[in-house]
Amino acid sequence: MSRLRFAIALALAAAGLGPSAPMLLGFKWDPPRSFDAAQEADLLYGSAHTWLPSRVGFCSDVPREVIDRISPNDRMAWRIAQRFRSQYALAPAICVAVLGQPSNGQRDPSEANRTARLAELDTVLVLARPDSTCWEGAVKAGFRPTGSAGPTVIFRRWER
Amino acid sequence: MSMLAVALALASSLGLLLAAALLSGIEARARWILALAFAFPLGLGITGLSLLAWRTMGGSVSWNGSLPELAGLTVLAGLSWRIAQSSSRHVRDTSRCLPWSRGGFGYAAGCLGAALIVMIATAVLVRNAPSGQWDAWAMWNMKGRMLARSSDWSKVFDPELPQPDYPLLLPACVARLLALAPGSGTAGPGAIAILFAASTVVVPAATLYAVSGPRTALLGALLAGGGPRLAQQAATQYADVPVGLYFATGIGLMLIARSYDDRGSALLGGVALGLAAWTKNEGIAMVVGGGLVFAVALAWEGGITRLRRLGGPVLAGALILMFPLILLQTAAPPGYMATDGLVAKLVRLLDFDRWKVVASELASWSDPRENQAPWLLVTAVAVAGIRPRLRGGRFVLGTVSVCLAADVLAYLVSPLALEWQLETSLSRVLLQLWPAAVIGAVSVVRSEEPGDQPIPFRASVITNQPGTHYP
Repeated sequence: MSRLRFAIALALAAAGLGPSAPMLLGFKWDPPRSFDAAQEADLLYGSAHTWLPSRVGFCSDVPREVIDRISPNDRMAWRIAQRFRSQYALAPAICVAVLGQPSNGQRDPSEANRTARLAELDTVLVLARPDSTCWEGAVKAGFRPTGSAGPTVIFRRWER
Repeated sequence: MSMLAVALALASSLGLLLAAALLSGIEARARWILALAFAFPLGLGITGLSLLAWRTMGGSVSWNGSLPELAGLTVLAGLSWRIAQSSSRHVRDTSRCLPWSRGGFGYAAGCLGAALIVMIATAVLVRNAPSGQWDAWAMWNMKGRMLARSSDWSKVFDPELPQPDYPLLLPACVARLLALAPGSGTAGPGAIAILFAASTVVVPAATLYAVSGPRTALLGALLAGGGPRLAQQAATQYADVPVGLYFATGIGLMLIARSYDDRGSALLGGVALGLAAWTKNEGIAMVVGGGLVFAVALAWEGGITRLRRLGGPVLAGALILMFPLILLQTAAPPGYMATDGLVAKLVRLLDFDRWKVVASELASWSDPRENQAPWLLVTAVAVAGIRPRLRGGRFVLGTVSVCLAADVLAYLVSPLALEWQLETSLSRVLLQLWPAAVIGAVSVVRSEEPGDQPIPFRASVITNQPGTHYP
């Protein structure tokens, strides 16, 4: 009797592994949560300039409506970083983001400071509209465009 | 990739030898099973801390320096194992708890199968999202890259960074892998996530194997592997699964120390709890809670003599790691908890509405329609039956309860928006306690194994006589 009870307990416990089983067949995980673009950009920028070994980064200046168009459940920077990763063989974490002109039209108060810090970088990948302050800032900091890709969002690789 | 495998193998070898050395009072078969289970988390943690120590002393991280350093550490651990083996006079007889039969092999295979399922599931998820989720990107892995590559490691404490006050064990582990395998990129943190997930199944299983037997170990492995979204949370590459594993490792070793009156297990348990504190801030509550409940349990059953015998090594193991942690964290900027004073915290604590919000979130987490894992745990234990003497389980479940209370208290006094904080972190915080809760709950199960027949505590056992254990 006790063996039967223990066998039932084992079966119940094994049911807990059920949620992991679909992974074995290659099913994909839930879509990643969305993140606030401004917060994401702040974090990326605030972090990347402090450690970049090869002094590489990217700027993003994506209006909120563009981010929303990419996918409401997706992470803007994730998608971008994956593309950067595949095209430039850069780790996604090698990023620095600058929000030049948020979609509400208000300028980021720390933008000047951020643009100045671009000068610390040797290479920067820019995700920006050509008329944006981010673009202008990168030009002022001595970068130039070298390429573009992607129909949905515009991005350029800049090299000093 | 091959260098990454070498780095992980070296770190695990170090952990294996260190665990084997400190568990030399345990009979060989049980010792090596436990040492194999604890090898990865202990080895990786210690190699991460050695890198951090090297960096704080002004050293730079390079392949040339890291490989000899890690090889040297492994040789030292091997030597200490040899010395411990030759000097160990009293070896505890664990044969009452470890029947070794054809059936035993089947149970062991079941445990490894559960670990393999979780491992593969995590690997699939890591393959889909190799850099993990947001905090992994913004904090744990990024700081690892900073430690490995930046000329000024102290920038990890830059106030601009998210959570600059977080302890640095996990970033240091990532940095160690980046130092040994510079081209590994996202593979290093991904491999760490996969192995931590697998160890979350293996460590509770090995602990339960040692204190009860193979059937109970299989039950523990299945329940630990069925933890709430374990594979998903592991694949985020956050620190919650690692801190939960170190907590379970510490508590498991303390349970083994108590069962076999073994001081080496107690010392290693203290070290594991110290590694939990180095992994995430919640780990500090785990050290304090685990230490206090263990001390009370020891004093209750054997007075000051037993408390000194087993509590002393736990305290020593934890303090060895806590002291440098406290020193290093003084360089870190204050966390969000320090943004206001004690009075403001007390006001929030006494706000009854906040208690209701926390209770409501806890209730919705444990709603069987949302989360089946806790119900499967309770039902499986109830169906299997509970044995009459619960001392070991009571200690573990008491520790888990104290840690849960500390987490609830932190939510109540936190200056951050409560609903947002609960929504973004409660499930992760509860997952941190899951493997230890499984050890506690399953250790009281009636499994009809030799471990079900406890030997009552006797004062003579304190004199280190072999062949005795405390259930």
